[in-house]
Amino acid sequence: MNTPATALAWELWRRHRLRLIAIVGLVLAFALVYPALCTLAGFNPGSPDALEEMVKRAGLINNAGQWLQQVVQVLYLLFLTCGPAVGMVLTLLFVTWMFTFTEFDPRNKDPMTFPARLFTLPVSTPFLFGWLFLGGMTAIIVLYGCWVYWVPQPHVDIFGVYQNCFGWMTLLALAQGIVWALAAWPTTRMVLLMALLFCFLGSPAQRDIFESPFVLPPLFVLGTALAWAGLHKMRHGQWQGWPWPWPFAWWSGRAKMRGPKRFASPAQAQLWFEWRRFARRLSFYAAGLVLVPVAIHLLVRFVAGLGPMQDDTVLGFVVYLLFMPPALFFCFAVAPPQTDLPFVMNRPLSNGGMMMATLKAEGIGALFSWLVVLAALCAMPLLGVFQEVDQFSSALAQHRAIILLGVMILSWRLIAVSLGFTWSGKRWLARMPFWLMLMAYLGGVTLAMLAADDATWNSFWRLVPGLLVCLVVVKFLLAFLAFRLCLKRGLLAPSALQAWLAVWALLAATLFIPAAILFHDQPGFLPLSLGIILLTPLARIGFCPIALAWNRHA
Amino acid sequence: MQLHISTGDGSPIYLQIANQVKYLVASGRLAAGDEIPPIRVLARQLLVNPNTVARAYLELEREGVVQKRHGSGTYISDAASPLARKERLRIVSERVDALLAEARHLEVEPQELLRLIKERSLSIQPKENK
Amino acid sequence: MNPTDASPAVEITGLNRRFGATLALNQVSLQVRRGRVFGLVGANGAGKTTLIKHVLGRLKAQSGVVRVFGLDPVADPVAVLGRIGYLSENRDLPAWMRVDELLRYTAAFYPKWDMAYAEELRRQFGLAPRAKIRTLSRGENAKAGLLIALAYRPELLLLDEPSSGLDPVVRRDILEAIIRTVADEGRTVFFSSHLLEEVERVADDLAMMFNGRVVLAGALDDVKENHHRLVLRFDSPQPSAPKVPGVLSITGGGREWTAICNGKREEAVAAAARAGGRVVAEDSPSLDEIFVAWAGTKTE
Repeated sequence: MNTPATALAWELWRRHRLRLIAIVGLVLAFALVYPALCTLAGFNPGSPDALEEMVKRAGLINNAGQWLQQVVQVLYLLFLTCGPAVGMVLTLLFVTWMFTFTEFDPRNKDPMTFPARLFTLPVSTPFLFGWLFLGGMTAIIVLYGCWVYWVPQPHVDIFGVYQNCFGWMTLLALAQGIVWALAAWPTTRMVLLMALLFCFLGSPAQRDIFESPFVLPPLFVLGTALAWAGLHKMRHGQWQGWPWPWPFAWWSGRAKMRGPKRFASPAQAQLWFEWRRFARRLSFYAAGLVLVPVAIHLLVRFVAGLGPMQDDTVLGFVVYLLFMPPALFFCFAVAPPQTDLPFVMNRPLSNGGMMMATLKAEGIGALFSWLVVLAALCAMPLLGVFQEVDQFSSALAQHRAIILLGVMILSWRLIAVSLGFTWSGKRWLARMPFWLMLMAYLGGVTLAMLAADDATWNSFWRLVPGLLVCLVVVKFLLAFLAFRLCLKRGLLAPSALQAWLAVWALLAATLFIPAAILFHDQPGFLPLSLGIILLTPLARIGFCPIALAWNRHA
Repeated sequence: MQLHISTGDGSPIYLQIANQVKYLVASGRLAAGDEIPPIRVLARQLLVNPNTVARAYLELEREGVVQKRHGSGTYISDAASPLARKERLRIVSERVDALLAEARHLEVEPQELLRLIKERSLSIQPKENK
Repeated sequence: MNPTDASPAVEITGLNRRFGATLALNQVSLQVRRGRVFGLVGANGAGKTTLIKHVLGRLKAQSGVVRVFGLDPVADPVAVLGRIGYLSENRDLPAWMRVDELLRYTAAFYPKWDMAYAEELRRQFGLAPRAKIRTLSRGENAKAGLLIALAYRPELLLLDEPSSGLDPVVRRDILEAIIRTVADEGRTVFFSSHLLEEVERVADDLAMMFNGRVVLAGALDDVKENHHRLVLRFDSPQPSAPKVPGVLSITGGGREWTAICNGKREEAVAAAARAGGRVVAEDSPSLDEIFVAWAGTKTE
């Protein structure tokens, strides 16, 4: 490390070592494995009609085989068509974030702070800016090149401008500009970033707009100028707040705290705490991620006079709405803020009490997020033409309700089961949800390969009930052991345990009853009901107070 | 009642409190019958442990400088005046010891010292007569 | 609160704690008696915070016994924490909360919370109710933490380096809080500090820790009485510190050397005489000097 430039490069590498290795691994995996999977499925990603072909095949699946096989095959086709695109978008977004060079600030507990220590080093601001800007552009170009030249990608129009390298560079410039210039206004910054993301990835506008020379180049210049100015101002303490008293601040400062004058019990106080600390932010993000795209679309449609959303855009938007909450919850589950845990662990509150309050708050947050999503889904007819989506989903029409219910409970479940891992206080355990997700993904791929061929699928299908019964038995055994240990050590009050078992029964029933009504005469009913029982978290909730005790009494 | 406590000067805090109270009585700033603050109040004022203040008050009570009246606080005892004289003599004799040590160090004889004291007291007196 | 309850508030026996290869606590035993102020002094890294974490139940005793009011803080965290008011060294208050929210939230956990008293303290400390904790200065942060530790009049006030990095005004507030706590009958204070003037002012009992061991424990008055500072004058100028067994430390130069000894005064005087020195002056050292003297001794 001889020069400031190499020092900065080393710092970036050191902070994101594992993630960068994961990105390289992902690109290699797609480069090597994806073509093989495509030939296996008889799908040629390079052809221009690839997407229509896939849709036709999806339509054909409706009539053959049983429902689970159909679902798996549809998901597999979805993966084949969109997988590389999703991978590319996620990795490029990560590199963009990496080059905004923000980190978590323990003093302000702000997750996106530009490190002030760089400004006390003897490096000039042009150098810092130049390094981050050029380094970022280079990284984006290299990564984009790798994805485009090594991985044969089908042309998918679900994402807006993602197949335009200059578009990605503009995204980086604008992201840097927004993050650095608006460092003093975190909420505004977050909203603008979400809007930016949506415009670039989920835009309802036509692709040619982005190819016109009047759109991207000015935005690129704007982003660069904003980033340059932002870094300068940040260094010298300017642009760090409103210079005049902001009337809104006066109002929000004077507003009385809502809620009871005095909390009725520690449990109620802890529920308020978890809501304010975590679940409320989760709900706001979900609402933002739904409302901002809708607002942008309405703006574009009614102000710019463009027509209503086209079919595939509508489909993309519906898919986005359905998958956004689970993805968001997964991000929150894997990296929840741990900063307030020591404060809570010093209160006279039992581990079980802490867990129940968090689960309840997360439940409320999940419910709220999904309500917003459902409202947006119901408002879809206002936004655009719904025909193709209706066609596509007509096959799943009866199952719509249970799928929706399933996705809702699944998204809440993502946070609930990772609670034990993140509360244990051990970093390697906190990574577990990520590894489990990876294993589930690989399992899905294996399942897809089995589903390709009817014979293998039938022999596999015969094994499934037995396998599921074993798993259910193991689940109940583990749950029994965990809860017994909790009761013995006094980590969980018996009343709390009863409440949790009641909730569990309610969740399982909520999924089970519609499934029973819809599928009771179908052959896959037994595996489905066992699957429902397996899916609702019981044992991992039981291990949660134990993990917390492990952290609390190290 | 203004007291000043310094830590680290070697003498225990309770002793500093007791001596300062005795000094105040001796110099007339606290008269017989004056009330001194309760232990808790003085402890908070001086930022000292209440047990230390209690020990100082016990010492003062033992020496008869203060007395506790049932339920109504602690007061400088009437018997303070003879002790005041004793205290005054003690303080002055300390100063005399210091003066004698200094004189010895500077090789001034005790006779010379006595002559000096008489001379100085005469020179001060006319000023007082004015 | 039973005033005749003679059992100690905190009792630690034979506590050991290892972090990897380091032995952070080495056979630590001490007793914090009820109604008294217990000062724990030690250098940075001596193990004070580790010890306090054991009292809170945040660390589980690897060997040895920790009892707070007769209860095990790990087995019964709710009962123990409900009787302790804790001010952490790290100021771990949630940054997103406002001051009034912090009060209302903490009030829910302690049945003996006195709203009026909390409000009086808040006004006295000058904390604006709608201020976010993120915007408070370091001193105000410490005051907020102290406020929520005091408002429910806990039986044991546990302070971990409360004055570190604070200005004299805030330090006075903290000392006043300590004295007020113990002046109300029966309540106990246990605080760790390396500001020895403060410990000397307010502590009843003292324990001194070096490298994870308790080298000195007892009533503060007894500790000060047992230590003597002897000024020794040697017949001939000493080129280096003379070896006088029985003293903790000896500093000075030439003919005059100052030695601090603990209790073994006669032995020290005799040993000095053997080395050719005699005592010319003697008085009590301050706690600062006692601490530095002990720090200089080799403790394995």
